[in-house]
Amino acid sequence: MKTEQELLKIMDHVDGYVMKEAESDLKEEIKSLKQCASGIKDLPYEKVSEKTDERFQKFMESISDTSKTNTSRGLRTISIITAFAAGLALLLIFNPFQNKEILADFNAMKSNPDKLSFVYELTLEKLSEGEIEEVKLLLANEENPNIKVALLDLLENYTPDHVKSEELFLNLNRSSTPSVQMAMLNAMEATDISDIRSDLDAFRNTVGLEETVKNRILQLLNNAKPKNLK
Amino acid sequence: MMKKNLLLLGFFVSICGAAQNDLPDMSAIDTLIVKSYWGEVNVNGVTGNKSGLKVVHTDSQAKRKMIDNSASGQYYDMKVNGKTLRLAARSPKGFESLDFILSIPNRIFVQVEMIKGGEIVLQNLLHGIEVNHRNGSFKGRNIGDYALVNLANGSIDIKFNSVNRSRPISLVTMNGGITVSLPKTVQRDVRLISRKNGYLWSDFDLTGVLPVARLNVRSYSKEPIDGTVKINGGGKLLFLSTENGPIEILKD
Repeated sequence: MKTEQELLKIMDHVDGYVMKEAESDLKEEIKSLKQCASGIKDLPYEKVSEKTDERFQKFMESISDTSKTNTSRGLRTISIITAFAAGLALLLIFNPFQNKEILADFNAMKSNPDKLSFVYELTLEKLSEGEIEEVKLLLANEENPNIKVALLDLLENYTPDHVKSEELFLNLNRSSTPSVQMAMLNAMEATDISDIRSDLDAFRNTVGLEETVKNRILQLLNNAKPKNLK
Repeated sequence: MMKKNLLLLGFFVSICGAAQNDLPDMSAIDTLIVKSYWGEVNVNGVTGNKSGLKVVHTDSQAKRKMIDNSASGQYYDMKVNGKTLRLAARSPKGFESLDFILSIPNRIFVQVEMIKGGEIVLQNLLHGIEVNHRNGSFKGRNIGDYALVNLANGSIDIKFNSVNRSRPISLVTMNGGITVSLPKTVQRDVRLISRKNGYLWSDFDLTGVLPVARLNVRSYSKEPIDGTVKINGGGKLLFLSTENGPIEILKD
């Protein structure tokens, strides 16, 4: 294990601050790190598409909105929701999953009926983890309520293992259509909501929220076991 | 004198014509989008390119008056953008409502958004409809192609005279029953969800695992109905979902 002094020496050489030859025991390490740094610099620059920029912007705004409404809630739950939001935002930018067909095919569709048919066809398949992540992105970006309800019906098949209550809550916070809100709450039924209890409780006080939605939240909160009893 | 009378007659005819022709030339329009807050939206499809619009304003004292062309801009906005005609009610001033009664060519696709509440009635529209409605019922008659209907509080009652076999139909409400009437030869995969107070009635034979113990019994159940079945061997999606209410699938 190297001392802090030795690590600083290595970094000075790699950064080019020290031009003289390094001590023999550090030579190999410096050489390897320089090659690595040079390789990274030579990587092609990949421009993020404008659409991705827009989606990221929307997400950052939604995170900011979420934070505004959460001021009275516990810091722990805020950090969990924010972490999920940040994770989703990173997914939007970098999308490390290889199954790009779902997003690309869906986004290429112009009409709502085509999109809805596409979502239904997905329900007939067993989706991979990467594909499920893509369906979550579709849910976050879609505006038509009938398509959103169908997406939630699809995602409900993958709770609780691949769809978490925090992710559903993020979408709940961004939706104002009662039938979509109900579909999200229904999908939460099979998930562990212990980390979002206070958020759900606060959401119940949203101005203009339908009584049916409020009652469904209350039912979820009452049915869920407190975390320490799991 | 006679020439003067003819001129006056011509002027009168042109005024009357303008009063009946509130909508722009519909021959180049293929989509109608109506956005309203409170009131009724009633759209009737007709053959050819005939069209008409009546708008009735009801103020907070329940006084009703017809809105004529000269005052229309104060109450609603009408714009043509490419092949799309948009009608948008103004944001409500107090508890007021606007009723839109339209007659349009039946080949036009119609999209209606009701932000607060009222009734939506669409009939004789052959190229699809999309409806997003908050409070109040939806009725569709003689609808063709496809429909995506989403309600918060209200029932859905829709009769198709034809359906496009390559397009899905989705009828979703939070509180209310769903009644859909379809041509007898229609082939569909049917996703059925009624979370509570529902029953399932079907004039069609449903194949697959039935999500109810008793089909075609109008007895409200507390148990959720949740399943996927097929009509006439299956086909494109027929998505029927209500949180609270029964589902009826009828043969036209």
